[in-house]
Amino acid sequence: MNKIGRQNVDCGIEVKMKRKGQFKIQQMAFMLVGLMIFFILVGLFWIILQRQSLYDEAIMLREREAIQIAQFMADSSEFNCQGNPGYCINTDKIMALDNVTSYDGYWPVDYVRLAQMHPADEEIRCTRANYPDCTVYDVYENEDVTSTSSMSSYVALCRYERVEGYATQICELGKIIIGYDMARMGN
Amino acid sequence: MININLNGKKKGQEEMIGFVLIIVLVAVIGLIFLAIQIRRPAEMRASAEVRSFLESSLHFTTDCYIESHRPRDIRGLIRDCYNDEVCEDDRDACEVLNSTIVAIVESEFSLDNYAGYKLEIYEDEDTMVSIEMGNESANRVGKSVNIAGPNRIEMNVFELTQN
Repeated sequence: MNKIGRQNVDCGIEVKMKRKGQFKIQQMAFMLVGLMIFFILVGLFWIILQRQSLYDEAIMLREREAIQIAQFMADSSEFNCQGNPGYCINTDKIMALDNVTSYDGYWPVDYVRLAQMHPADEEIRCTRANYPDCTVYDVYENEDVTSTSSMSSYVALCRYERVEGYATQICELGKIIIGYDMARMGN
Repeated sequence: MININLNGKKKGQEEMIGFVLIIVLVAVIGLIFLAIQIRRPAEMRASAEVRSFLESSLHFTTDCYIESHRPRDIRGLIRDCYNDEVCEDDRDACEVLNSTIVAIVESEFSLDNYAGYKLEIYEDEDTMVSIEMGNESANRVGKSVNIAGPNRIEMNVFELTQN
């Protein structure tokens, strides 16, 4: 091969290598763009989900706040059962606090109600006249709040009765029901 | 020359398969993460309901009197059942315990609203009382509560699956 011929061959190889290199760079650029688009799409999907879950979480937090109020009430000395704390409300105390106004506006809820669940009888509002032959206790009402939702938690409703001359604790299964305004809770 | 082209094609196909595999892997991980995120809040709330039900039920007064003028509550009756006690009206403590719990659970966890439930009372690892109704479903929420000594009550509620 003469000198000119060898130069042409070298030039050809150089051009081929350059083209191959450019093609590789192009391939990598496309791959990077593809990956970026993929991760952007994943990110957008995640943001949409997070936004939805944030709303759900807000509702859940408000419900949890209402549950905590229910548990706080069941555990507070004004309402709980002596010597039997936890998920137990003394209905004798509820009746004793029937006309007490000290708690007006104290809790950020619309109402707190106790309902006997088992044994299940017809719905009778409790007053001092018909207690304990009743099933629903209106514990607290807040005129400043209008409820848009309610939650409930099981509690034992206990009272003392005289059985064979002895003071005996009688407990029934009930629910504490709290009505709350979803928009107001937590403010 | 043909061999070089074939090698190039094969390499390209392998890269594509790798890329697809990565996308599938990321999608599967994303779906699993999504499923966990969606399920968690419902389980927490329902689990709190089962716990409050179990804790409150333990206070429930039964009609069984055992050497006392005071009727036994379910918590006391579990201990009596463990000790093989008999009520004053000759009924077995375990029998009263069983029938009382069935009545309470049936009134609160109706099979119209739930797929089924399973409630078990344990003495160490042995089952003292076992109540099972309905069918098991994928949506299970449960809670275990220690009563006293070796006794433990455990409840699983199976929610209706939405079709």
